[in-house]
Amino acid sequence: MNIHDWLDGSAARLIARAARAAPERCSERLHEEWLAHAVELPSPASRLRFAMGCWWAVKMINRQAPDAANVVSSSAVTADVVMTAYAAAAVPLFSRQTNPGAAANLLCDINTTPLIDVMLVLLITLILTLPVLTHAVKIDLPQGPPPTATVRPPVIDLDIDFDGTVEWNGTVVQSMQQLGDFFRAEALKIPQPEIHLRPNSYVRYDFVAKVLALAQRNGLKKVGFVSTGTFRD
Amino acid sequence: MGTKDRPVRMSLQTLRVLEPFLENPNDELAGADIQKRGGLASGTLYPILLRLEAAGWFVSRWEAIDPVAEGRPRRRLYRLTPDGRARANEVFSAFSFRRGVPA
Repeated sequence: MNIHDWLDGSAARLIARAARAAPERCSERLHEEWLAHAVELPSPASRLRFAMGCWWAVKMINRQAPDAANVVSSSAVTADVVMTAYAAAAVPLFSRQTNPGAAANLLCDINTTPLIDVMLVLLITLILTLPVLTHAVKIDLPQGPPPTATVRPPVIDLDIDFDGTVEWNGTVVQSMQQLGDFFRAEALKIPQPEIHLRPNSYVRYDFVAKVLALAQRNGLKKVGFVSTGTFRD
Repeated sequence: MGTKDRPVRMSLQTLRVLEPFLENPNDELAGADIQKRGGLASGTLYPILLRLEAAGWFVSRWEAIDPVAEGRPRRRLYRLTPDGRARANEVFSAFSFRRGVPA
């Protein structure tokens, strides 16, 4: 059963239940009349909306009873019979209310029929509004596997003193040749360590430039100057 | 006071129901026809139809078809009574709502 059949089935059931809730004298008439009206509607959704409206119609008809309820019709009263209101208000309109024997057949159970009807209407409303709620905004999300967790690379503190003395993690480097060896060895590591360069404020720029050039020549890619606020005297 | 003699409460929706009947007083219209012309929801339309019929403004009859042969339920056709037409004309005149409809 597709959704259209389901909607039509629901509409037919709603109309039948609404007609049953109408005053007994016009219940059958309204059922057939509403079904005939629903058939002429263009879509299952409009038929379902119409069926829901029938519930409201019944509520209003019951409220305006007995006037409207006096309009009688049934299959027994065949075509071409002109239906007019019965002015005789003495005619019992609602057998449930006016039946003298009704008091003897009082039901003490809770009447759950209206509750079920309300629940059915709410359920259908929820189903109809669900496509609106699930409407999604298309967003271009990153493709491919998520990036691997980043591992902080080791840090090498490279101090350059005022006289050009270079310290590798606090150890004095004897020559530029030794410094080059250190750089070369570190450049092969994965991940490559970061060089934190901390030149003394009095050292000649020439020394610093040579150290930078040496690091670059030996393949080190992560070289940075540490903030001047942390410079050593 | 009989049901027919009771005054009918007028509203814009009631006028919308009456309007297509006054345009062609001899037409018989089903609920679907009235809804198409008046744009009323079923919950509004049918209580008005029943109220006006109970008040004697309308008469109605079943469409003369065989539902089995036609494959659809019979439509209920409404028509203004002469009295209903006169009273509707009065109402529309009072509201200045009518648009050149013969009485």
